Amino acid sequence: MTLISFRQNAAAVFAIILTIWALHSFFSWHTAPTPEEIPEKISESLEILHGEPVFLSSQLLDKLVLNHPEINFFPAGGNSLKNAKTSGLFYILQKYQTLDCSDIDRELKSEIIAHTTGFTLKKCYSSQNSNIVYASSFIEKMTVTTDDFEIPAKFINGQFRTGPSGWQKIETGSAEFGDDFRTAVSAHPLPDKKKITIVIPSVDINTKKIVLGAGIANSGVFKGSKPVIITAFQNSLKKEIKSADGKWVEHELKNFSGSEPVTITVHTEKSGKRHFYFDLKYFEAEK
Amino acid sequence: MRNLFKNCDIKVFLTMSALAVFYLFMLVYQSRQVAITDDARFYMAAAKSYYSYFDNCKFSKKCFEKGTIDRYWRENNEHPPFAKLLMAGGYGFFHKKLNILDEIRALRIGISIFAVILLMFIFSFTRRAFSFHAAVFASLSFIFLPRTFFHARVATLDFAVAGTSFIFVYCYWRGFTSKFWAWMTGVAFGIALATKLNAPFMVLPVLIHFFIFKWSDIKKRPFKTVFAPQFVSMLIISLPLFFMMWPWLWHDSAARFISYVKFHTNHYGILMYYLGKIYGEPRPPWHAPFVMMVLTTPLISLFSASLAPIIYKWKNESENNFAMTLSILCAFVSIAVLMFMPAPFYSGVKLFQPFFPFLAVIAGTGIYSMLKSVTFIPEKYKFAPGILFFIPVIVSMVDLKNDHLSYYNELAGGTKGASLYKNEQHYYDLFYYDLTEFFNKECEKKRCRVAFEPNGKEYDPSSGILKKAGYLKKNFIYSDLAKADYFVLTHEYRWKDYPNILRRSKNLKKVYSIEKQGVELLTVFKLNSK
Repeated sequence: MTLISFRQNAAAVFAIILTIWALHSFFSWHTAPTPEEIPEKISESLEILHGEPVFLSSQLLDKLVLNHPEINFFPAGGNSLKNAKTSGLFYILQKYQTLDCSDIDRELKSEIIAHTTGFTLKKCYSSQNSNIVYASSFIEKMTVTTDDFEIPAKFINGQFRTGPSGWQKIETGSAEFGDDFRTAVSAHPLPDKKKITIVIPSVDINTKKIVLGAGIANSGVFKGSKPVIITAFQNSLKKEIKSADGKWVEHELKNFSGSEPVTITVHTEKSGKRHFYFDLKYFEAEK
Repeated sequence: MRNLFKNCDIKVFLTMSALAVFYLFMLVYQSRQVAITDDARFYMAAAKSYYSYFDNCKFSKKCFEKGTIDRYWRENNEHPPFAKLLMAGGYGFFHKKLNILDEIRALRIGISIFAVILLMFIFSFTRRAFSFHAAVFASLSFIFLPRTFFHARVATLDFAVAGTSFIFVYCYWRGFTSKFWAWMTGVAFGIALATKLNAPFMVLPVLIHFFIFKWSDIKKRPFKTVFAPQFVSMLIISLPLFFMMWPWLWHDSAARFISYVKFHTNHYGILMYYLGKIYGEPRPPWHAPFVMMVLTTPLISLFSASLAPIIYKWKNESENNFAMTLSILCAFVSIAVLMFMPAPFYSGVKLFQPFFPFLAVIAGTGIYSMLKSVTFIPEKYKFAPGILFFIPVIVSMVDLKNDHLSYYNELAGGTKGASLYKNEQHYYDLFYYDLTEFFNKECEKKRCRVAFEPNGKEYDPSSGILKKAGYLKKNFIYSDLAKADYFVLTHEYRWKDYPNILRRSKNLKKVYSIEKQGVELLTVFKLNSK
């Protein structure tokens, strides 16, 4: 056998192996289904959550977002993971690809909650290990009224309508505030200083503190803008925050309780381009 | 004509014909089921307008007047006309004259027929430069390029420029041995210029090849050598032909030509999701075209094309006028333009389609060079594995039905692998045929208002095209989300808001989805009545 025919024989053998491997790969991997449901063991662990964010490690798990509306899943691709950076506590559901808490923030601690048939559920938390429930995770339970419509708006197709224009709605959305990326409740204020009133129901955890966060996204920054005023009420308690453009600000709602509803009002003097977002964070007390 | 067939034996003729018929059959079979692309509306409208021009003015004096030209040639004047003339030809002949094809298929068939012509040029080039068997493998490598196959079935410009670029190079190469082809080089280059703006870049590999091939002559007789008939023909014929073919430039020529060039030099960025990041402006990194090519070219073609330069007998290269050098240079420049120039890059491998005919030539030669000296297969059957090598890509193509823009090779892990490694599983805002069928059933007896997100605006004109051709029932009404009965979510991470839309849709009633290899491309929700 000459050197030339050796090279060609070797190449042909490799090409045949490549063809067989390609066929094997097609039938074993390409055509295999992707998960539609969560295994029971993982499901049991997720059932006890109160809307804490659960990040998926792979886009191949994205079907779970639609198939499990009761869980606050974040899809795996795009900018989703940026949300995790601003969460003190969240979960990761892992399959196909590894995603560790430390990939998101080195300071985060990690705990494996459940593991079965290729799925792993991890809990990621900062040193306090305190559960945080976000109001944006149960937006469908809120009640929304406006100065024009005292009858509460219905939650249809993922949003509450607050007026006839396309932008007049309350829904969850993501945006950048300076360098921060957050998913929160998007609540574009109404024109003519009209108020939007949002009642956030109580949460079924024992809360040690509640924090109100709000801001105008970078996309809404412009010269001569007016701040959006967001006020939180509970019984005789009141806390007012004025938004800053391109910045997310947080204030503790002192003495507010998680076992009672919180009423939020939103209004502004000039509603143009006010890409306003807010959220409430309920911190669970130590058990 | 007799000369043309003199060197062409019956085996070659029959094989080339069989491949051409097979390719045409594949292109036309189920062509109704090929999705509508978001830019089809521009090209289809322009093609119909061009057809009306020829049909109405019948080469009278009026044809040349500014008013007439502006009326018929204004549509889509940011792109030259050749591909749209192919579409207009198909439309006029198969729809208007014979009435055997509906409007959509008639507008597409010109490109498909041109694809078959290109295949014959690929066959001829490879056979003349390398061998008959290499030509067969090159043809098969070309036929079984799933994404190129898709582009050969739709009314867009990307396939046409691949064809005209290759034919130009073919003419140039054959021009070394034939005066006819030397003069045809100018014609072919003129047509390539009249196809799409990336055609002029093909001059670069041709010039480099010429300098390599003719270096000793250039040193001896520089003036005479440089003015080879191919270049003289290009200098004399190409530009006048380009202007002649494009009536839009017959009036206000300088201003319109400048505006054409400016449109492309200042082209807006189009979003692309690549390795988990969304790009637009700035465009994706330099390696994106190369990586997309590696992940979407069938493995056997990729392997044999990489192998070809290693096992090819370079010492015989001068005997075929440096055909391998020319093919490699052309392939490299076609893709390098998008890798290293500050041009926008998006939509998978769409923008460097001229790369693929050359890849097919190199791959075909690679398979041939590999198998011809194989000693462990009986002599009689030694080329048989060459056919079997294509089985994996054929299986994938069948599995994807007519949605070949979702093709990724086994190295990438198929469409599923694309999703895993965060690349686009589909793009081009395709209005899938299966979606058309779903709404035809769903809206059989009632009006359906349908909204699309994240990029709804593209589906309004596409649904219009489908309704006009009778593919989609009139009961389908494109709508905004506030008034819609149905909501179609296309799963595309290139839209920043997609994860939020997906999350917001979780309480909606899912009624239909299109899935490829376990990955959802789109989901249809039935919305609550207000």
